Amino acid sequence: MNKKMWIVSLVIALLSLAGCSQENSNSAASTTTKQLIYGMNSEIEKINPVLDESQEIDTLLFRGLTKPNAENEVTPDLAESWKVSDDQLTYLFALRQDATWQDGEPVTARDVKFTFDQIRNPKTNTPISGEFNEIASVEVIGDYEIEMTLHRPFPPLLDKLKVGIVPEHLLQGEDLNTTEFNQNPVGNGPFKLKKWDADHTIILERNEGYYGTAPKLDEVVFKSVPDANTRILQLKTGEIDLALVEPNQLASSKKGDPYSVHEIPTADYRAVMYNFDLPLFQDKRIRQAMNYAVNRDELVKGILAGKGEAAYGPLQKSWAGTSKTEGYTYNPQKAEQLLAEAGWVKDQQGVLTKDGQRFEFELVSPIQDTVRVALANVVSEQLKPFGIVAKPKPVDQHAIKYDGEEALIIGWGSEFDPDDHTYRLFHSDEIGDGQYNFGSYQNTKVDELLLKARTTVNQDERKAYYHQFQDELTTDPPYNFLVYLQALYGVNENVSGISMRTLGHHGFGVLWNIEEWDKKVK
Amino acid sequence: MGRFIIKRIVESLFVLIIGSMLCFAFIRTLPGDPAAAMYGDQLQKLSDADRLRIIENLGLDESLPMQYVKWLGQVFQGEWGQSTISGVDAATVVAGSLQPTFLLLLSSQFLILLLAVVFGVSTGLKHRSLYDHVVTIISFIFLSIPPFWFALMLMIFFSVYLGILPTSGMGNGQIRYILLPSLVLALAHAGYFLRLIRNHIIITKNSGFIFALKARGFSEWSILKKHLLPNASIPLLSYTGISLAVSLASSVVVETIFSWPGLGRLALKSALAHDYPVLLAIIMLSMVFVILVNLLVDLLCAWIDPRLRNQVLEEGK
Repeated sequence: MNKKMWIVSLVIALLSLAGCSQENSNSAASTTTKQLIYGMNSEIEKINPVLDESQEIDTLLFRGLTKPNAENEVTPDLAESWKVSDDQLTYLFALRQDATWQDGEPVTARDVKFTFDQIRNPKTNTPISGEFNEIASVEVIGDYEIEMTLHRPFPPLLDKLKVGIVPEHLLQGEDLNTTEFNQNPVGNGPFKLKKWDADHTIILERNEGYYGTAPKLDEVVFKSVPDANTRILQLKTGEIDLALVEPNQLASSKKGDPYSVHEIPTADYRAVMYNFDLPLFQDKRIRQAMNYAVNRDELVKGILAGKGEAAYGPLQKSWAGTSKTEGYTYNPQKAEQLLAEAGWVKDQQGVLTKDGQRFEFELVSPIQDTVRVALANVVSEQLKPFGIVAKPKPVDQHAIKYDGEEALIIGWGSEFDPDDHTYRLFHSDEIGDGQYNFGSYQNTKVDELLLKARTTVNQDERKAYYHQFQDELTTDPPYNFLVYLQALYGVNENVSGISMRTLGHHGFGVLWNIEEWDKKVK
Repeated sequence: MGRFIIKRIVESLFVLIIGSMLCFAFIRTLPGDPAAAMYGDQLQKLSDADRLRIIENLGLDESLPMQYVKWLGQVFQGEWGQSTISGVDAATVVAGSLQPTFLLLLSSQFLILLLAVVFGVSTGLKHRSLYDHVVTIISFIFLSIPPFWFALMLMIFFSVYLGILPTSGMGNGQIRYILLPSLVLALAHAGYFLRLIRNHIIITKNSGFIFALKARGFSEWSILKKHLLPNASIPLLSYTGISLAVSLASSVVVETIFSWPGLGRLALKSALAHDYPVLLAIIMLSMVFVILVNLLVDLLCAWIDPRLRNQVLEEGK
């Protein structure tokens, strides 16, 4: 009996080995194809730029009116040129006339109108509708001419218009949330869908009818690899060419591995947001003191494994940013001095008190985000010697009330126009339901400068306003800016083209210049 | 026999209805909702107005009992609703991951039985020998190491170091893709089965009728084949039925690590994204599956063992 069983298992083992060798010979045919395999942490459920905010595959299939360049400046894409009215409320776009959908139909102004109407349609379940709130109307002027009217001036509009345009002739009358188009997309971009496998792997092939620069790659494969450790192993075996890498995985890369890790800057920062409804935070000397009390280099080293940098303001990665020397550096003496000036003295337990009130507040972080939880813990530790009790309170992210917590680790930062994540965060008009000034920060000088910067056309003048704005943020801080994150991408050595453009949150946008990517094949 | 089956089916229907009610209510108590899931890590951008709008679009603004009644009515018409993340019919989504999970469970169950019979019988026969101890210790080690760690070690050895097996994915269904995941799943469970068989062999081999058979000069082989194995097969079969639910649960971990596009991974993903229609479809399907297999196991046992058969017939009356 035993012997027989051994024989059976041996046969099975042999059979499976036979299976291996058979498969190897099959895949040999594809080695001449220039194929980039991207290992993603999530699965692609649907491909429709109207329904998603940050999905890399969308930009390969669907192009928008504009696109960013290496410096994150707006450049023409489907829109050849545009004219902005003096009051900055009307945008007139001229579309290029050689762009076609992958079924041969031309891309026209009607598609553009349809796309933005769908994004703003209340029946559409999309997380991006908020980005286009300022659009009042979109009107077709001619086949290749379109006019957009805004409620108020909104400089980041042009950046936002990189959102992919969808074909009206295929989607008219369809329910955008459930249409089969989302699994069988017809786009206008450099690649088109070749195959959507049962195991959720998506293979794109070059779109020969693309109006722009023809991509060098033949195929781009989006493969879902949900486990971070598995992704590293697949980079090592060469099963995937590109993947996000976690800072704690850097140590596992060895010499001789077929991939290298690229550290790409992002505009994504983390900060402590103060809630100004709390009387404790009213005195700006208190907030200045906390700024001096936090050792940001330690945060970068300890929490981000050195992969990031100290944050001093919201525009550090922008052309409108000031140099970081003007921001806060770790200075315990100054912190103590400011706290004393504000009238806070340590009691017997070493906690600051003033008029019988202890310097105590809750510091909330979303429990799902380990980096934010760690930041809350370390910041709390760093403030302790000064007699400040910041109680870290990790909360399920769905239970966080963004405008209701005492203090909170927040993440913002836009790689686009400096107006994008400043006006909406720090202007006093933006306080209230659904708007992003969660902490109710109010500063008339900041309001004035942001409005001027928003409504001025001349770039040098805008820059000057933003510099003054950042100075004012330093004297009257709305946040305690902590760190900027870096995106770490593992890239196979045979692959070239990855750029150092400052990316968005979670390293989004790495494939922005996919036309220039290339792969050496043996 | 027929009445026995009818009785079991009626029982199962009750289990399904009550189970579905509990699940329906329970998954709603998880913090978060489909609108929040849509925003992902940009959750802070979701305003209350937008949340209400999306919830309303998805028909989740009605009272929970009302939603349940509607859902049940749809299900009786074969409508499972649409996934809130992809917009595809929930039935289609679930059907797509059925085959991979079925393959994985089948192959790991095959490995489990193979390992359990080979080592269970041999250790049972050589009770308390050095070989018995070694196998026991090894099986305990496999029982206690966490599958996610074991999976990574296997990947490092077979895929990175030896370079003969793919780390993950399903390829086009070639055997080499299924080897590692089914091995991890099998080794994590084989220990229980092995002990079960071993203990049964030990008990049975010391019983009087075996001594009698030996005394009459029957060969060891024929005793094993005709008496020891059939006796051990009953507990083995009923345990297979019970362990199926456990295997389904651990497939969540294994499928995630090996990027295996099966039901376990779908369940995890749907739970995280609050994709209620898909999640409910998976839960109902798993319940039906486990109930059916257990029914089948009972019938098989009755078919093998005359004592159980009489019991079943009694119950049917």
